[in-house]
Amino acid sequence: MIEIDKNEQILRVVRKHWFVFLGDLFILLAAVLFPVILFFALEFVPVKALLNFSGGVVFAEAFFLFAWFLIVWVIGWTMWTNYYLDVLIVTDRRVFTIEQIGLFKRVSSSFRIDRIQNTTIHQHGIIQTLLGFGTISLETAGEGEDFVSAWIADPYDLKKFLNDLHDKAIEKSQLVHLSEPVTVIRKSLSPSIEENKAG
Amino acid sequence: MLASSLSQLSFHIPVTPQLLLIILALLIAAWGVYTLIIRYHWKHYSTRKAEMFTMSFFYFTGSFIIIGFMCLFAFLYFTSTI
Repeated sequence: MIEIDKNEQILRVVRKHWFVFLGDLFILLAAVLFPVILFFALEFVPVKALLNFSGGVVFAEAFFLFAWFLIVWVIGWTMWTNYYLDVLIVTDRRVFTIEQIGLFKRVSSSFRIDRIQNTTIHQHGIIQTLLGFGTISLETAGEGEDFVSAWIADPYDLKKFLNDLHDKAIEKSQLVHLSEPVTVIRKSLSPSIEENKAG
Repeated sequence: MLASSLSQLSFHIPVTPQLLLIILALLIAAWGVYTLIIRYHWKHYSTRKAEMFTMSFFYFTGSFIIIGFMCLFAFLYFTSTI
């Protein structure tokens, strides 16, 4: 469950670039093509000599082929879920960085937007530059670690968006701080004003 | 040479319809457990309901097609033994 308050509004959901998922797709493609390779390999290593089929061999082969496809299908959805749930969420108050590692490991961290002190983008290599993705590091006030989100799509746009939100949050907090002393002064002055009026 | 030496072995794995049914049952059970886990993740960690619905649609459609073909070929294998 993402720990977002009910009155908190999600402004942007940022995922890793599709290029990251391309590597997983190649693995899946290789896994789908594996039975074809196996089919040719069995010509040289006749494992069928060890198997004793009681029915049509073609039907048994087709059954095992689809059993393999079901395994690949499940692996593929695990890869997709890992990609899909690896996310950076920007709300009107905070930034959440969620890292999904496998199905049973999940790291979720959040920080207030007005705590951001420095935003850095790292782009390495021709692919990252041309396809427009990179690593964004968010340095916050305090001694904690930087929040790093790798292979984020369109990081410069995200940086601009975060900077605008940060400016608004700072302006808002300054207005709140400014309004506080005025009320305090008014309260402290009010008895003397009343005395003057009476005098 | 390798084929002849393998055929000379007294060790044989009988591929019976029962074996196929056991494999099918085990795979469907594993798929069921996996579906529960993955649906839990989508339900609790997804940010948009519409995306979750689309993913569920494709996941179940593909799964039922593959499992359907498995059942079909297991049945055809069973009928070919009779």
